[in-house]
Amino acid sequence: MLERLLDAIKSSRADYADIRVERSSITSVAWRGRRLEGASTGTDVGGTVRCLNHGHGWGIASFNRLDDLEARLARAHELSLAVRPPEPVELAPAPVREGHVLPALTDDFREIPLLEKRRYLEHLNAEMLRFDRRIVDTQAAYRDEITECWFVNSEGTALHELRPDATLSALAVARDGGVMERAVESLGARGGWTRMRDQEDLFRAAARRAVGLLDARPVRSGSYPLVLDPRLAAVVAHQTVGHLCEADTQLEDPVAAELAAPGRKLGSELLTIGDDGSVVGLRGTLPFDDEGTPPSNTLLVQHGVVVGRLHSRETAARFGERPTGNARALSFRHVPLVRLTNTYVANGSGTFADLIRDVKLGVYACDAVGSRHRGDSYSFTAGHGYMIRDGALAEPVKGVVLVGFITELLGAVDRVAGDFRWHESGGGCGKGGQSPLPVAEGAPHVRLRSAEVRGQAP
Amino acid sequence: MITRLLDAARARTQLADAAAKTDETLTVRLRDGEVVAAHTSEQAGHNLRVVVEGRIGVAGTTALDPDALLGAALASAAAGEEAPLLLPSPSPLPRVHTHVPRAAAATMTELGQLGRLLTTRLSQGGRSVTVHVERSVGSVQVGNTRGVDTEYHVTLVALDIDVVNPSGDGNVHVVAHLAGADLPDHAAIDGLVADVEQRLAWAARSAPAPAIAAPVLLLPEAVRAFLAPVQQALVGKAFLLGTSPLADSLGEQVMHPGISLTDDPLRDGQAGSRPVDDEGVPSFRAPLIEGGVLRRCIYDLETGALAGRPSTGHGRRSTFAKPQPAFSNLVLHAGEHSLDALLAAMGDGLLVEAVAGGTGGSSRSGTFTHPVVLGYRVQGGEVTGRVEGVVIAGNCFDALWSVGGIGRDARWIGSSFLPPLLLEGVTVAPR
Repeated sequence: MLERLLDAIKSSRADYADIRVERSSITSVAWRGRRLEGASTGTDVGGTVRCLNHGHGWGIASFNRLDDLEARLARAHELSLAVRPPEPVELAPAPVREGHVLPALTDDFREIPLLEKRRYLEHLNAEMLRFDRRIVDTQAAYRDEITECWFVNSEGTALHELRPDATLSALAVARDGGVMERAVESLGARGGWTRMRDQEDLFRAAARRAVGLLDARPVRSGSYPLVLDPRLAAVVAHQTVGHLCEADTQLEDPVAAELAAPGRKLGSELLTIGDDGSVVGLRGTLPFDDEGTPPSNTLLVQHGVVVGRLHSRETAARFGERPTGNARALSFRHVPLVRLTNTYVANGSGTFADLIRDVKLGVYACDAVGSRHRGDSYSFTAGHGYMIRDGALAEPVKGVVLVGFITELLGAVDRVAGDFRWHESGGGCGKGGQSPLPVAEGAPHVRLRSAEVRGQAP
Repeated sequence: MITRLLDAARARTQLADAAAKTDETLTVRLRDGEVVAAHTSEQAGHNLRVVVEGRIGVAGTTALDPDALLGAALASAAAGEEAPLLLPSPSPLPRVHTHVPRAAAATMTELGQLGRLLTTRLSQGGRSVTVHVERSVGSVQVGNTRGVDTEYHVTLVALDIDVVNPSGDGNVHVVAHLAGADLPDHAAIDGLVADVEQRLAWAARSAPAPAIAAPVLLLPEAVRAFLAPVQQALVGKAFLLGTSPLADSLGEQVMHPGISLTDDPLRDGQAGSRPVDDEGVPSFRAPLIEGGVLRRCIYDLETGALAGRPSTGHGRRSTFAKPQPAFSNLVLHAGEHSLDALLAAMGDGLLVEAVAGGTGGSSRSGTFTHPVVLGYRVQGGEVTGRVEGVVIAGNCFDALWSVGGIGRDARWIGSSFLPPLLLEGVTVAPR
């Protein structure tokens, strides 16, 4: 395939051109309650051609049929000549790269029969159903996708990769009288079938939480000292600092450009946040991004001050900075945008117990089941939570929604624990209609001296 | 390929159906009148479902390989779910316009001109105007082993406008959308421009938030987000599983008598219009709620079969998954009141243009917490400025009993036709 693409790209008349072709094998299995929803397979094949000419912008053509790549290049070239952006589009220089990155999958999930995957998921679903009589509905889903990718550009780069990705997700619904609660758990991994095995605890955790929420009281609205568990802290970092520091977001959104301007104090000096697509084995890790740039560890906020941005080759040229390997596309149907990979809050010191020891009345908010941010405001919905009373965890609470302004939230951090861990959920990141893109997030426990929690009226 | 696919499937099973969809989309993005991006996309996908010994198998592909697709569907059936699936036989299809030749033939130059026209009309006073123009041409072919073999063609022209207006106390974002099978005519463009100008004028100044218990008047885009729990509650699968709060209320009054909701695939030229669903069932207008009384939920073939009900013609399939029940054009019936009359009736309250999705709530119970992205204060029946930093919260099903009025000026938001809706019992709270 690489030779075919290299031959085709020679026909391009554009100043720059690239071709990305993918072939994916997909399997999905889903259970709902006691019923199998489906067990299906698919094959997805296609590509995207991008052309760029001096004084013009991107012309893009995406397609399923691979039989006339030269015509696609000609169409993309023609579109590029019709584009006249007010500022010229340039690409930051990049070395020519050649490589085949084909991880040896000793437990390739393509070799596991569909029936075995169905039975395994039935077993996991049953773990939720039999957990408690109050579990009234469940959803268990498994999906694997292995994508072979080929990328060439007119500068001579030629890459061939294999990208495996698998996810498991659990949703449990519990009901007691008129009260109904739900809880979700998920896992995503770049590994093979073995990584998906032995996940009974994950499914039991979803059922346990749904049942536990039945007896939890809604949190009372108000300002509290707030401790975020590592999952929620990581999602907050991803959704706020992460997205604000995407260079294309800054070019489009003046609020993001102002909030995340280099040198700006965005949060507490205890906060250091970065994005690292090079961590071995994580779900957001890739050997090359979708422009052929290897990902890197990019510090975004150091001691509360903005120090970096995430880039594609185009945005790096615009800002006079270096590409960071964050140009990612959901599939061949999409163009690469500046995307997050593995976003983290750097470790602090101390334990969770240290964080809550001197909290007289506070909230411990765990996991994130919903998040929104727009401009400088945010809202995060925790999956569950607990009150903190006199330095110890007390009763469980539910309906914990954090709302407010990003700078106030990040500025209120007054402790960062030393218990960092990565979390690889089965969901993903959404941007520009491209979702879910595999990412990972990591953080330790983080404490805020005060934050607005919205639940029931006080 | 469908005919070949079904011929091959007949050798293995009496029950199979397939859908093939093609789509060619041209997208042009303009910023302040200059084309800043152009993208063309040609996609085609096939989805095959087979029933073997009572088990359902589904496979999809974008590679044109019918033999491999049949093999994958049969393998899926070996591990598949059981369902008493009955496929429809051929029957006459209703007429509905889904394809407009001049939209199909629209060139990039024409789309660019359309974007520039809107930019020119909306650019003044330092505003930044971004326009996204998208034109899709496609086909949907559906067939089954009982002889259904039908195909229709679609066009869709969608406009998305984002105007950023620098005001004295910060930038104000106003977004607007227009979609339909045809290129928009002058009246549609005039209406869109007038709409955006009205909102920019309302948003020019900031105003304090109203009281917690103030009435809330939702404009069509906010109505769409507000109604999301109702839509989910009307899907047959939620009835089947007993997770819909409406599941036991067929024929009963479930909301204010002013509320009527219809799924209408036969509206000419709209984003969800179609003569037949993706399982070969002819389309028809389906009243869901009439005068506040629950009339039906929506089913596809499989969900209907499991519930012992016929399909309501709402099967939708993507390339890689089996059909699922999905709405076509959702129409909330308009009322009699002008917007001015609703504002006067409200007196003092919050007019909500757009909300940022739903958080902090449950689609099953209907509770919601929506951060207001763009909202306006109403005092003495007049809009006095934009309100920032508030959320609206409450329970969708409860609030639909406390409808203070329904507007007559409904608008298409994607495939939903929605009028303004005046509600009491929704809480307005600071973020």
